[in-house]
Amino acid sequence: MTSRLHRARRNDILLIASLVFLALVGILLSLFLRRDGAYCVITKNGEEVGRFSLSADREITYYEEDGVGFNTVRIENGRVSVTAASCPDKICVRSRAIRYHGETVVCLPHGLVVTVYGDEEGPDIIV
Amino acid sequence: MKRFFACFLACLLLIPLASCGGIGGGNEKYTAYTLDYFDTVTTVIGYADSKEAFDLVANDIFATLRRYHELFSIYDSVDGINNLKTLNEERSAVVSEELLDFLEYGKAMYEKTDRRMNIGMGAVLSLWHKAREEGLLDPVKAALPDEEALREASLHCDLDALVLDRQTMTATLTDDKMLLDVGALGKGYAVEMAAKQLEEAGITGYILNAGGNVRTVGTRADGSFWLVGVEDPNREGEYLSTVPVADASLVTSGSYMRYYYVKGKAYHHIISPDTLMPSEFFVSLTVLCRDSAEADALSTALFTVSYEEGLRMLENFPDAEVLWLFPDGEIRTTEGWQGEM
Ligand SMILES: [Zn+2]
Repeated sequence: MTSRLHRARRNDILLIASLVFLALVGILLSLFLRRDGAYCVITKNGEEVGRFSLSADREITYYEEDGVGFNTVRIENGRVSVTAASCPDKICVRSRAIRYHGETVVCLPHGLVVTVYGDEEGPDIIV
Repeated sequence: MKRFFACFLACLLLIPLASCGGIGGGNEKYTAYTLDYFDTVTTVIGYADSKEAFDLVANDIFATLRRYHELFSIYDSVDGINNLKTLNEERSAVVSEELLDFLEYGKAMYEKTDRRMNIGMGAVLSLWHKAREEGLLDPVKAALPDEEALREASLHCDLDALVLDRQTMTATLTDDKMLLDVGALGKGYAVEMAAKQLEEAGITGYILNAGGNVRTVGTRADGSFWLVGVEDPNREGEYLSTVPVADASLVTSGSYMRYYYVKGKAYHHIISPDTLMPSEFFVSLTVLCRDSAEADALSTALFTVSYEEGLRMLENFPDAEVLWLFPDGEIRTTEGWQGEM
């Protein structure tokens, strides 16, 4: 009885260990496969309002139709973030700066989405 | 196990560090074009902190290309300098150090390519040039150059007849009918000179492209390699290979670049010194090596010999890699070709 319990517990431990291992491998893989971003696209209510290379620092402020509400988007050192906003929840401002292909920062109240895209990986030049 | 975990943790810690790369980033990419030199489009692509900084570099590059363009011209005289037109007309001329250096380089390449890269083939090439120009203007009357005239001209293509004297800075054509035509070498040489100027000034992050003579200086601003696509003449917008390079030159010679039709058959511009006709071995070939002048010379020379003979010629060019496209669509490369296919 006790030995069976032991075996069961050992199996549990093995299962958990292997799950943890797989999870770690997954995290590692996703880290390694993360593609560097090359540019970001900013949309407001689904419409593109800006597209910028991540290789040049800049700051752009997008205003609400009322001219008061705003989100300030900053590109710095290859990362893009929302550095200031008038929205009530400030989730966009608290989101960390993004730099990898596919990452986004969202401001739901203002319908603003910043998405990073990777290099198209087309050639720089043709011969 | 402990050690494994330590390594594992170390790896985890390294990931964010590794992905932080991109020192020297924050630079913007700029492009400048001109149609003024070597009858082709010249493009300069580069990373700089500002448009003004980029323009300074691009203008320096264009100034160097203009100087060589003027020196190499066989059609236009240039006030105050003796260029190749002067030399072709007067048979002997005092030339600038730049031109003398180039002519010396041309003679060296002539030997190095088993006399395939020949800047003294102007007598033959001028006949083809004339026939092509007339054929393009009036396609109905398009004709090949006269065979007898070609053969006669080919007797005056021995580059040993170009004699250089550094003491007096004089170049002399000792064969009365020899004509210089540096179309197959001049662009690559000029681009190399402009690139060297950047290197000496410590400027990196640039691509110079004179009509397909591509020379990269350094890498992209983020330290990654440039990607150069080798055009597939049979499939528009597709590449035979995509090659990551830094500080390297690529040149393609192709039968599809400059040609005219005679009775429905296309005749291109790379003339074999053996047959005095357009070379038929390949559709195109691309040379990759450090030096743009060498790449230019080699691409022309290799185009006029068989694949096997080309491999033998390449023994004189240990750092050169080549991609050949055969008429039946087959692609071959040298073993060291780094491109993705
Ligand atoms: Zn918000």
